[in-house]
Amino acid sequence: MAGPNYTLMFTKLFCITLALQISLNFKAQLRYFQTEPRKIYGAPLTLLDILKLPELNTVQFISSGLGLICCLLLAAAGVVTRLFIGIAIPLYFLYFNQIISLAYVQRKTNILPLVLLILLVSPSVTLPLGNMASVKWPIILIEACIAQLYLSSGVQKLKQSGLGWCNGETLQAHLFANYLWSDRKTGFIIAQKRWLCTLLSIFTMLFELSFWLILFFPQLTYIYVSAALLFHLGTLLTMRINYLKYLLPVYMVFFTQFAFSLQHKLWP
Amino acid sequence: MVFFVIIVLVLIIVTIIGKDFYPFSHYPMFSNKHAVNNVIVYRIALEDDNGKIEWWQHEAYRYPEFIGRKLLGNYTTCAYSNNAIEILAAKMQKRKLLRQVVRLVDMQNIKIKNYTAVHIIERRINTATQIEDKTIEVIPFNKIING
Repeated sequence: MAGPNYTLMFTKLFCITLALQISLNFKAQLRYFQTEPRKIYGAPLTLLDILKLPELNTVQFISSGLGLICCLLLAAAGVVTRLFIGIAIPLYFLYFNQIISLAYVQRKTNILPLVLLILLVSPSVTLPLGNMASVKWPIILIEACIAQLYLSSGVQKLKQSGLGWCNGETLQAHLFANYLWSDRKTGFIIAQKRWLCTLLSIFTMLFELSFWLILFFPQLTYIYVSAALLFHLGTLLTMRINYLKYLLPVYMVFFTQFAFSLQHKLWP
Repeated sequence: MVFFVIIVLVLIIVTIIGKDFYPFSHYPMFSNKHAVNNVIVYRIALEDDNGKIEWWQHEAYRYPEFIGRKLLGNYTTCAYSNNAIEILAAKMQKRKLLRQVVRLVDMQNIKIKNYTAVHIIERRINTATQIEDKTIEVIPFNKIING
């Protein structure tokens, strides 16, 4: 039963992948929470620069995390989807705000509540998978959120360093600094080759400033998605920047068509 | 439609002004111009009973980095500032940070009694792209714990 309700298909893929990621990292995140990061980094972020989020104790932290996982799984299973997506939003803030200083959380999960919010107001999440009348704008908006992530990063590079950012020295310096911290050889090997740093800097800038093109030229999607995955894999191996962990559930937005084809093959 | 426009507008605004409006974010990481000559980090190492020195590493690797960056700032203040209050504040903050190091080391199930001192080591890259390490300070553990 192939259907065009891409939003619902994405909801299922997103919720399952995110629930899985949180579950896989739950123990490590609890260990981090128990080190009391607030004592080092100070108070975490305030919601929309207005609302100070509460500090949780260990039981509350575990409960919010487990609650979030349950809500995501129930939403994926189609059990009062909108309600459980709605509950997952405050639980996201309660849980992740406690560990926001963790390297692979930081800004890297900020896109998650935006995606949940989009799904919450989307009319398609309550329609069946095969519904032909489902709307496409939630998918476009989620893609726009991903595009903003890259565009913003590119714009910041231009604003702070200009086109000089592409000369390779900045990337080289960041790679060296990372090596001094971590003793990881991969980044160091690349950093020793200035021409390679220049090439990678140009690629990064071009990629970040043009990712939004997929919104207007969907035929470019798979080229950019492949480039993005390579880019994130590269930053993970050389600089320990792990965007893949919590961006992967959002990236499912590019695989809804594939999921429909797979579903059609498995259950014709 | 209104919702769509609002979200897109906020995304555009945070991108242009470069300010976070959590959870709406701009992404400024690694945007600042950086030069190889200026690459310098302060790392923390632990010295054991036998005089062996090893890097302090943590599962949450940002802890050693964050504290190292703060210590670099402290030492710079102490070296270049003429303001006695600023220097005193920097020294107090350094003490506070080192106590946090001891607390975190203790939580890592590392037998803290086997260690005698914390080393603060300056690391930089020289012109031949080789690493140069220089010990800035050696602070006995008991001095950190007992103040």
